[in-house]
Amino acid sequence: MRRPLEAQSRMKELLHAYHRDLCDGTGPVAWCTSVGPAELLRAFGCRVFFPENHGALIGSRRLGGRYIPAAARAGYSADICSYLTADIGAFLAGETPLKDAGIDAVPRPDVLVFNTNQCREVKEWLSFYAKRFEAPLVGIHTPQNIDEITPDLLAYLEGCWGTLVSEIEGITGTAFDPDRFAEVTALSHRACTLWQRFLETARRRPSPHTFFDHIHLMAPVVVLRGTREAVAFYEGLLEEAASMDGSAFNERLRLFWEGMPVWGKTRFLAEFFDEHDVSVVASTYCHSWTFDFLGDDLFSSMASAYAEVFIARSQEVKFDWLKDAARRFDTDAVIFHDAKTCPHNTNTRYALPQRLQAEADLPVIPFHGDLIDLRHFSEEEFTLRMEAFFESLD
Amino acid sequence: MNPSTEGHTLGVDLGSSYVKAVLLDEGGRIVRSGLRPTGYDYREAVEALLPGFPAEVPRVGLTGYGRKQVLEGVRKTEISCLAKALLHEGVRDATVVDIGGQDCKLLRIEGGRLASHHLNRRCAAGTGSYLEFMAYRLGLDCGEMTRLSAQTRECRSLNSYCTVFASTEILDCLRRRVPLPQLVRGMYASIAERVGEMAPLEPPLYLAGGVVAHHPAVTEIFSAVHAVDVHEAPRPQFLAAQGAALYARDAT
Repeated sequence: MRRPLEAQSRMKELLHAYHRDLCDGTGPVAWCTSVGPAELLRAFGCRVFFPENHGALIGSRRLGGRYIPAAARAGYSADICSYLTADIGAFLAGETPLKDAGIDAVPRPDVLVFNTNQCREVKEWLSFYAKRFEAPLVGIHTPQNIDEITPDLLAYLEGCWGTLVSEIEGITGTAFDPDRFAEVTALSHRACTLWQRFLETARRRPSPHTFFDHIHLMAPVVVLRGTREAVAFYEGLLEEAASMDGSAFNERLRLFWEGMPVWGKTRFLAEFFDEHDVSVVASTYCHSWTFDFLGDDLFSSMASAYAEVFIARSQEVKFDWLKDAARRFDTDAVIFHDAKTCPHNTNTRYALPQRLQAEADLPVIPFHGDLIDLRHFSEEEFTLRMEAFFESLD
Repeated sequence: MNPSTEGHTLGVDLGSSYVKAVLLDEGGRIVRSGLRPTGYDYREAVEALLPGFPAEVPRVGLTGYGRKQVLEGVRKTEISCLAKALLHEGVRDATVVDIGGQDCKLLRIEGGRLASHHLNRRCAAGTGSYLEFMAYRLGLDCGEMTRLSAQTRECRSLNSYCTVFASTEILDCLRRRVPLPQLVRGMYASIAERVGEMAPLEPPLYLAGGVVAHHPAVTEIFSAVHAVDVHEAPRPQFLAAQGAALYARDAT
């Protein structure tokens, strides 16, 4: 077994402080999608809360089965995003996993801000809370299935960002400060760069860390993007990674993970792969928070960066990206998570695995599961699929 | 060691519905086979089954969902074991469909090696459980279903996505006096249709598993639904156990 990274304990303290500040700090509270305009909100002095992070916390504690039915009773189908249903179900039950951090309830929003670069569900999700809290809902309608970022698309997105700035000014009563925005964006860019450099250290053979470390260590680049604390954390993480030695680990196979984590089964999955001497070294998911924000025009580069995320792209772009990344990390195969309730971050449904196998000569293995709803995942079935796959590669 | 079992290997397939065992001689030929319902305890099923086999078989291969739960030996997935057994039978390029009690597996053998495999979605439709449920609702056994399906070439199309909804659909058909043989044939066809969604059925196509062994009509209906030549694998219910025994033989 690989030893846990020391950064994990520092991260717990960091996230605890972040959650305490959400509860006790000053400044307006903005709820924001995880690949949303957090930098802009922080530049306005907002404390930023991410419902997706909250959903992942519910999933990690295997509480989806308790909350999803409550959301379904309220009309939010169990077939839609289980982040959404688990989170709304928890709210309806008056419960939150933040109790572990001494917080009794999610912070009341002054504004809710979405970006549909991931999916349209995020807007539906936040609109539930906008009605509940009688708070304004604003956002950026990024299209899906983007092939290339054309000048027309970029002009449209810049327009969305401009409108959003005016709306946030009106809601917060604060004038936009371009210097503060540049400062926050530079910090965010720095954290993203450090995070990416850390992920790239998994290119070593054997890899000193895996996807099952990454899905936890990514928390600061999601919820603290644009802060000095996130930069300091990733500087420390990168330093630790430089000194890590994976040579004791027998790495028979290296896999690339495509799709969402199965929150609630991360320990089972990590141990399963360890027992089989298999390293899951990289993923589309964790590489999604590696934005390049620093162009000549900050709004333009930010609008572009948030539209370039993997999840928003066309099948052609995804094919090229996956092929290149799987090779860069010297992986033997790609594992595809077909997440029942997350069609937007599931890439098994338009023949992408078949194309990768046929055109890029990359073995692929899909499995059925879900990000939160564990009724869609079977340890037995997963084990059979994977062990047969490993046997076929021997 | 008993001289008569020297060089023999035992293969045990601990499936969801049945535990199957085969004994191979030195040449890899099956000299004995047997099965017992799995029930709720693999250990009990194995203890009931193995007295019919020599006690001192030196090499044991284990497969099936329960392969890690009882006995000691070489453990391999049933997917690899199915391929291994067919390769032993001289099949080097084939699509293999194994319809078991709780899942359906489709594998592709190319150039004498396992090239790819697929499992059904997490649902009973398209598996032996589907037929068991339908047979129970209609009060039929395997033999009666086979006889009924042979009485017609007409097939009443049934919901192939949900076992429970399909049974409701059957009750509705019976109320509307759809002939029972057409319904039984429709049940078999729905399995064939469901399997056809999993991956291309490149010929030659071999069927294996307990469903094929106990419902021989499935082979003919598979062929009719997909317009391909379909072969029933040799000893279809014991094929994975045979593969496990072959792995045990080759491991030493």
